[in-house]
Amino acid sequence: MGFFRKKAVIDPPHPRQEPRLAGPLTMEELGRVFENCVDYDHRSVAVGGNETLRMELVFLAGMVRMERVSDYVLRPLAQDTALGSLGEDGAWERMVSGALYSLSVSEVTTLDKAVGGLIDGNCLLLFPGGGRALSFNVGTEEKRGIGTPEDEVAVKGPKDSFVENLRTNTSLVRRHLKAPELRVKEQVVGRQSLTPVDILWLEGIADPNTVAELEKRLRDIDIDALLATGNLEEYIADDLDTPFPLTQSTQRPDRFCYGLCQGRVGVLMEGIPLGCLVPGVLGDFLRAPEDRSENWMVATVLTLLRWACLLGTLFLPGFYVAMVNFHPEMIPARLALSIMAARRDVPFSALFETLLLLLAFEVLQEAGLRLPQSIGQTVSILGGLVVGSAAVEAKLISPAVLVVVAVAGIAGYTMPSQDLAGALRLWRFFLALLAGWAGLFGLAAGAALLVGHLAGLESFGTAYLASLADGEPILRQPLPADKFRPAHLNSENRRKQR
Amino acid sequence: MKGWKLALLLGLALLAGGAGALPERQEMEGLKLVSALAVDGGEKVSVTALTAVRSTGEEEPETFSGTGDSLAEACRNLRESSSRRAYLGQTEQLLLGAGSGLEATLDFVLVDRDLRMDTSLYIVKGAAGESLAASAQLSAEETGGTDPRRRTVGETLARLAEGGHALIPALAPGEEGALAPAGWAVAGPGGVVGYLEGDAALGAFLLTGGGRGEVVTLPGGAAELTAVRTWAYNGKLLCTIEARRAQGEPDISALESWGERMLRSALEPGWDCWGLDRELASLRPWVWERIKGTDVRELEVMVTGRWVEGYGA
Repeated sequence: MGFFRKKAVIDPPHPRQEPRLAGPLTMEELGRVFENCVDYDHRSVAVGGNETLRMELVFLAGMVRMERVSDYVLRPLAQDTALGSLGEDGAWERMVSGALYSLSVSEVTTLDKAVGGLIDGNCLLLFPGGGRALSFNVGTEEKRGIGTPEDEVAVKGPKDSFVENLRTNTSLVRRHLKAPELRVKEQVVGRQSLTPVDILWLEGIADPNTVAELEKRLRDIDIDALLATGNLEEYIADDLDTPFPLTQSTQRPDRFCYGLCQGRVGVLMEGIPLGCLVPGVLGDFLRAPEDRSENWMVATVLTLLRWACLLGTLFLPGFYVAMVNFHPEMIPARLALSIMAARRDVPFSALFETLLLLLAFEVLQEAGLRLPQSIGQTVSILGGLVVGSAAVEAKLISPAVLVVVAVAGIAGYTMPSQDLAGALRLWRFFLALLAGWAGLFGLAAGAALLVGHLAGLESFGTAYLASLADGEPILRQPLPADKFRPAHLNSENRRKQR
Repeated sequence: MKGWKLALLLGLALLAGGAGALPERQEMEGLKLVSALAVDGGEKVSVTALTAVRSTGEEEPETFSGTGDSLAEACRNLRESSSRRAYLGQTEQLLLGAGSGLEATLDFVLVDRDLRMDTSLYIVKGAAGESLAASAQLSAEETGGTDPRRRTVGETLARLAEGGHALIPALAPGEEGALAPAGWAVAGPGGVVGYLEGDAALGAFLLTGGGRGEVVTLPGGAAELTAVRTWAYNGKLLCTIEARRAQGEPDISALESWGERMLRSALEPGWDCWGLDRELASLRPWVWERIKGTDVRELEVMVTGRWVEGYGA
């Protein structure tokens, strides 16, 4: 078995059977499909009290709302004597035209569609002879309420957040963007999960090529289950050999809608409380949603601070290693003396010490994330303060490197996108290693490699550094002056305000 | 394709490492930081180094030395004189003693990979190494740091490269052998050509724009200089001196005549250490050939004094 990938094995065929379930639409076939399924249930009902005219009601318990089935389907079916007197075809016609109180009813004639309907929360009505069935939407609406975005705290913005229900999420977008040009197109992804995935865009603003490309990439996904955002992001990304995010995820409908208004294309998935925006370029990951709510001058300063933190989190450990190991003349004399005094009894080299502490920082962070919040905080305090100061006192590490790694780590937390922060953390190790190899020359070579890598990335045909290249301001302009959509999005209508 | 790129990068990295093209890695705790370096000439060149210590008082500065036929050899011997390598990259002061070749030393600083161009340069009247050892630690006020007389190796080299003279602060062993300011040494082609002391030294300092904070005794009282500005224009050396009355009620004319006397003293030996000829030609470059090498003694000195008041004065 390989380290990253499984060793090549004989590739068995992986055909997709269409239709998934062949066979006639009968009670027997339905029973066979749902064999050993305790939630599969059915009931025979005399139509309008006519014992000679019976129908089978089929549903999956838990997927349907029982009151709706009882009140809007069963009650009129059993009590409407007119239905019983019309015969099979006549009763069928009446039911289709509204004798039963359901918002939507559809006639299905294949086993595949009927089973799909049952799984979606419909109930089926069919005559014992089978061949066709009426599918009523009586699904349960159990879902999590719309809460606040926990990972993207809004101080001066809307407090709603995406939830796991796709239709709720599309409704949240509709409530923010009431434009009839909002398009919502659906595809189903995952052989086993059959997850509905919606593509959202604003007609006349988004680039149709991006929409078409996204549709194509979604169509090409052939996986078992789409259960996590990463499942989708990795399949639609242009390049997998990069830690940098190429699609932008957000919990906040307002941010998602702003992206759509900019001319980007959004993706929403059933079961995932996140929206995904494409294309995603570097500048997008450095803009916080709060930027547009803050005063433009404050937001500008914060943006500059964020860029400084980006450089700090990336280069600080490497810079420290380079200066201490190769270029001590760059350090002010007093600081050099302090570092020397602190390092005198430390048994490790500066490079090893830095890498060790960077690794310890990652371990602490991982431990804090995986544990419940209260315990996580304790671990962070114990790890960061107690173990850190004990390690310094025990001369296992020097205070300078502790400060450097802590500052670099904290600077990383200022990134609005944790996906970007993760990529920076990875590159931080690499740059520290290069600095330990050749000092500032190594660090400069690493920086050149990083720029080269970023320049080579694309997201849906858009260069990753496009936001820096096409004249889009890094700083936050006063909103009245921000008149155009970013050029790299190839919007059909670039002007966004008078 | 990516594999090829990676292999190429790794190959280049290994090649660079193998060819010794990369800087040498050293742990800081294995170094001995040198804060001051004294060079003495003679039959053999000797260099004496003073280690830098923290101001906590836990350590005492240490002096150690190395000798050799050349400055480079002396420095190599100095570096290898102890288990911890003497590191010259943090040297703040470079003291040149009697008999040490100024040009040779400056050339050495230019090519040495550790020594820096922003190192402060001093000329010691006497043996620099002995004085450094006696001083144990040069205070920041005397040398380097906030010393307003500070001249760096780079500045001196630049001035000499222009073909003129350069001012270098001079030090002399004082009581108990400790170094104390002793005017200016004047460097010219071939080395130190002379010294400016007393009024001439203060005048030279005024010509560099220094002197703020100097208290001057004048007829009728004393004044504290707050700002001095000099410039050469149209055959004249113009100077404005701003001062505040520190004691009594001295007259402004007394301040002006004091300033003129100081400047005249500095110009008297005829060394242009301030690039006055270039300044004279700066607004009229077409007369440069005629002005080049103007005898500074011939300049008309005009001093304007002004009393200033207030907190900022």
